[in-house]
Amino acid sequence: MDTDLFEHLRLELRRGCLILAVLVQLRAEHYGYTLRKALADQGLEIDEGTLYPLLRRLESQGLLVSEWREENKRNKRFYRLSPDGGRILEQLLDEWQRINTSLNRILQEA
Amino acid sequence: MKLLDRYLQAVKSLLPKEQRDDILQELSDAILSRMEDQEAELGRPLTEAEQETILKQHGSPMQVAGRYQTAQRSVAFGRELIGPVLFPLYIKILLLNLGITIVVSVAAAIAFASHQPMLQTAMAMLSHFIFQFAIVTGLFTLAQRSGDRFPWGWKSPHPASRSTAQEGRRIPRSQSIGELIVLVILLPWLPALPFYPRTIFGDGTALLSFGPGAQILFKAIYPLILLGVIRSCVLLANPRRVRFYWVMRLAATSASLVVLGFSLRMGEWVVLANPGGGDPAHKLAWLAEKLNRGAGFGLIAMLVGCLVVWGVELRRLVRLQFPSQEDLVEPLHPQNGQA
Repeated sequence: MDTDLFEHLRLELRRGCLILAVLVQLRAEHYGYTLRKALADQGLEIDEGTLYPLLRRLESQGLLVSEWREENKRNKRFYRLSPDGGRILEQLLDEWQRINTSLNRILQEA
Repeated sequence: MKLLDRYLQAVKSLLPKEQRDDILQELSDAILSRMEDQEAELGRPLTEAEQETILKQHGSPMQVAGRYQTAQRSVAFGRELIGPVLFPLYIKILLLNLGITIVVSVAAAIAFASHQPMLQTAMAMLSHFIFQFAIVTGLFTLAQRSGDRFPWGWKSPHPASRSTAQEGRRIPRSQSIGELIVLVILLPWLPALPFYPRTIFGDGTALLSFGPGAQILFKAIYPLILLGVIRSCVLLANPRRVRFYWVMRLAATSASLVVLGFSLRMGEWVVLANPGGGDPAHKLAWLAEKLNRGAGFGLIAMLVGCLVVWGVELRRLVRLQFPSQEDLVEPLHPQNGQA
């Protein structure tokens, strides 16, 4: 029961962080597989089943742009941050800093 | 990469239509990249078991397709009954049923110049729809449960996943045997019904009898069943006579449409056994009228269903004759050197 509850809460915590991590990483162009590896190298594992639908959703929201290109004899979809995505990312990073600062303060007092 | 192809085919059938090809190409690239990485680490090609492990880690076709649904709608009553993957099809089927119910009800009301009040007609339509809603929801709930319990059912090649061109090569003997069994059971029984009205009317046999509309149906059933038996026997002997199968099916459906049309035109399926009878005759006439109305309603529904089936069979026969590019089997993932 405790494990299930922890897992549920952990997923909730990760959900928002993942979006931020993906947007930050896509300041540089990636396709799905390299993006996943880049995030994993930084300690943020994300499975393909979550990543690819997330990328499509962010694109449909106008935060990313994509194009198909051939690489290593296969068509791959390359994603990068759109101008709107860049603006939103800066706002999200400010918000993230604010939350982080508040949380640190709360933890210190506790 | 047959396993990957079957996996992608299973996912493809569950994806939103407008994004299907796009998603599939991306998915295929992601999985192939992962497989290639692992092959590079191992220094050899992956075994089928290793490929299967990668696919299982990716998620079952239903799980994968569910994540790509743009609107995550579902039917839940406490727990989820129908998930986001099946929900769009579920809604389409419900709307189709509602449409057919409305068409049939209006057609029946016009055909029988109904004097029923509008409210009563509307209530009858509502009760039909509630019944259909319960059946369709039940079936889709079972389908969802089946998908959840057996998420890896796609591993064995399923007849539904084959293209029309592949299907078109033979009719399975098991299908012919099944059809033959059903037809042989019906053969002595259905055509004998007019001589044994008690099977339908029970104790009412003394009062009611089959009318001309029903007689024409019974006369037509025998040759139609015989046609079906001949078709099944020919296909048992030679399952490759696929065109023959679809021609026979189309012929049977066309004949059924004609017979239903004549029967509806005749109108009377139930008549009084003793029309000149005494006091309760007017009550029996009322009963006969009600039964005829119900029978007519049912036959109109059958006619509409038959029309749909006829259209599907005709389309199948045309595609068999002139297969399109998508009917031909191609790998769903790009081969090396091809886009």
